[in-house]
Amino acid sequence: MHMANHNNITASLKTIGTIPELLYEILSYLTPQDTFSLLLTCKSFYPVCYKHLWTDLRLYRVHASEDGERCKLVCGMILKAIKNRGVGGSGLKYTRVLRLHRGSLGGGGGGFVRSGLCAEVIRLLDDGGLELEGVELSYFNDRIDNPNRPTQDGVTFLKKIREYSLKKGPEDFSLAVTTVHNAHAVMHLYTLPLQNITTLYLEMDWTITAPRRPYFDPPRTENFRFFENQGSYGAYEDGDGDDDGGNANPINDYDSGSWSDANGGPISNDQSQLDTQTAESLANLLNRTSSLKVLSISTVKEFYRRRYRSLHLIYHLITLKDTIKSLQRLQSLEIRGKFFHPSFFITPPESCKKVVYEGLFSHEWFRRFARCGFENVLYLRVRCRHNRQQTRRCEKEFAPNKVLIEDVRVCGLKRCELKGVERITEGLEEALLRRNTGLEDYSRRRLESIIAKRL
Amino acid sequence: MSQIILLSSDNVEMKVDKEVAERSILIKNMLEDVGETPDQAIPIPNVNEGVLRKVIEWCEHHRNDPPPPADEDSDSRKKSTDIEEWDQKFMQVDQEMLFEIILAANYLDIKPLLDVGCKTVANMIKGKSPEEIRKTFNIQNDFTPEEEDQIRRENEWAEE
Repeated sequence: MHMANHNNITASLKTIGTIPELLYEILSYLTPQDTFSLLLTCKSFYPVCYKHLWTDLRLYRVHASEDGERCKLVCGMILKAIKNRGVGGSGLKYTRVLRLHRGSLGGGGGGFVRSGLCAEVIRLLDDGGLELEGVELSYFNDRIDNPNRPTQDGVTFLKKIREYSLKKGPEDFSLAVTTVHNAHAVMHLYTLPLQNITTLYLEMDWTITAPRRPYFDPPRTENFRFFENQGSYGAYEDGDGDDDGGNANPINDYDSGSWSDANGGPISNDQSQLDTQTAESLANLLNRTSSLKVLSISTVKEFYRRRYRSLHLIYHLITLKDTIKSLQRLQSLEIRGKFFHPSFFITPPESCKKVVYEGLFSHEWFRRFARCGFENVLYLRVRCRHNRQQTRRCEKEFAPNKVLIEDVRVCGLKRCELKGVERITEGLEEALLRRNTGLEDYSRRRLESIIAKRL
Repeated sequence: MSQIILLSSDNVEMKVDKEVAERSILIKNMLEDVGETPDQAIPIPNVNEGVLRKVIEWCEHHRNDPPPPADEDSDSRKKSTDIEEWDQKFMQVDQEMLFEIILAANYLDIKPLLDVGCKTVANMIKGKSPEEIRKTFNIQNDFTPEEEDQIRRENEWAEE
C-alpha cells in the first residue's frame, strides 16, 4: 500500500499518476482511444499508459467490429510501429493478450493476415520475442475455412497458438474462442487444443437443419490437421437441398405437416429437438473442453414460425445435458435464445457461479428450474422472451394459465434478476426471496417490486 | 454497539462505530491483531480531518453492503463506469478532495470506495482530447513537439 505523504502537496491527477496501481485502476475503465489521449497529456502518465495500451492488444475497434477495412488499418499501423522501432523498442514487448477480429484469419477483408502483422506475430512467437497470456479468436465462416482459398499465414498462426497453448497449459494461457456452431467452424476449433480452451462463445444457427447440416466427425488424433482432411466432411452433405422432408428422424410422426396461424401462413413443427447431429456435435465438442471457465451459447438465427410439440428427451439431448453438467471448471454458463426446445432445461455444473438463461421457456422448464439446487451459483438471471403467437403454438408445454411455483431449491444467491418471467410463472419471486436470504438489497428490491406490481 | 476513536493526521479525534470503521480492511486487520476494542485513538497518519470525515460518511452509508462477489465479472472485456446515484452525489466535490478520497481509500484499503473514485475520474477523462484533459485537470504539457509527434506516430492505431 502506498503512503503518499501529501500534507503539503495538493492532491491532483498527477499525484495519482505517481502511483502506478491507481493509474492502472483508472485505465481499466477507459477505451484505448481515451488511454491514448491521456498518454499524450504529459510525461508522467506516459510510461503507464503506454504499457497499458499495448498490454491488451485488440486488433479492431469496438464500434467498427465488423469493419474489415478499419481492422486492416489498425493492424497496418501496429506493424509500422514495430518495423520502425523494432520489437524491443515497440510496445509489443508488453503485449500479453491478443484479441482478433472476426474474419481476421482470412485472406479477404480481414486485416490481421493481409497487413502482414500475422506473419510478424508468428515470427515473434517462434523466436520468443512475444510472451502471451491469452488469445481471443473469433471465427465466422472465415475464408480460412474455405478449402479452396486457405490462407497459409492464418493456418500457421492457429498451429502456433496450438503449440503455445499446449506448452503453457490452460492456467497460464487463456484461449477464448467465439464461433458459429457449424461443421466448418467447429472443424477449425478442432485444430486448437480443445482441452485448453478457457472461454467459448458458441453461436447457433437453427435455420440449418438436419440432414443438410454437414455432419462432422471429430478427429481421433491430437495431430489432426483439417486441410488434409478436407474431403471427408463433404461426403456427409446431402446434395438434394431438401430442408425438412428427408429425414433421419427417429420419431416418424414428426412430419412437417402444415398448420396455420392467425396470419394464415403455414407453420411447420419445430424439429430441433430431433436434431441429433447438432446435439451430438455439441456434446462431442464440450466433452473435450475440460478447462472451460466460461461457456456462452447464443442464437444468431432461427425460424419464428414454428410450432413446438412436447419434448421427448432423446438420448442425444440427455448426453448433451450431462456433458454440460460435467464441465468441472465452469464458472459462468449463459444460454441465450433457443436451445433445442423450450422445455429443455440445462443444469449448470456444480462449479458454476454465474448462470444466465434467456429465451422462450415452458411450464415444464420452470418446474425443472425450481427443482435445481444451483449449488454454488451466486448470480442468476432469467429472461423470458415470450411471443404470444409462439406460445399459442406450443402444445401442452404452455398451458394458458401461469405455472405455479411453490418452492425453489436454490438458496445461496447473492444476485438474482428476473425479466418477463411474471407473465408465465406465479409465486417464483416469493419463493426465491424466501429461500435466498443473502440476496443483495438491489436484487431483493427488484423482486419485491415485481410482486407488488402483480398484486 | 462498540465504538472506536480514529485520529486524523491533523490530530482530530473522531468516534465511529467499529462496524463502520471496519469497512477499511487496514483498520479491520489492525483491530483483529490487537484482539479487543482499543481505548486509545487509532492514528491515521496520512488522512486529514476533512478527508477522514468524508470517508467515514461513505462508510456509514455503505455499512450494510454485502462483500462484493470474489470473481466479479473477471471475464468482462471492459468494466462499466456506472455509479450509484448516492455515490455520484457523494463524489461531487472539488478535484483536490476527489483525489484525496482516492488516496485515502487506497491507503485505508476500502476497495469499493476506491472503485467509485476511479470511475469518477475515468468519466472525467472519457471522450476528451489530450488538450481537454490537460485543461480539466490543470496539467502542463511537457512534451516537445518532436516527442509528441513521435508518440503519435507510434501509437496512431489507438487514435480515434
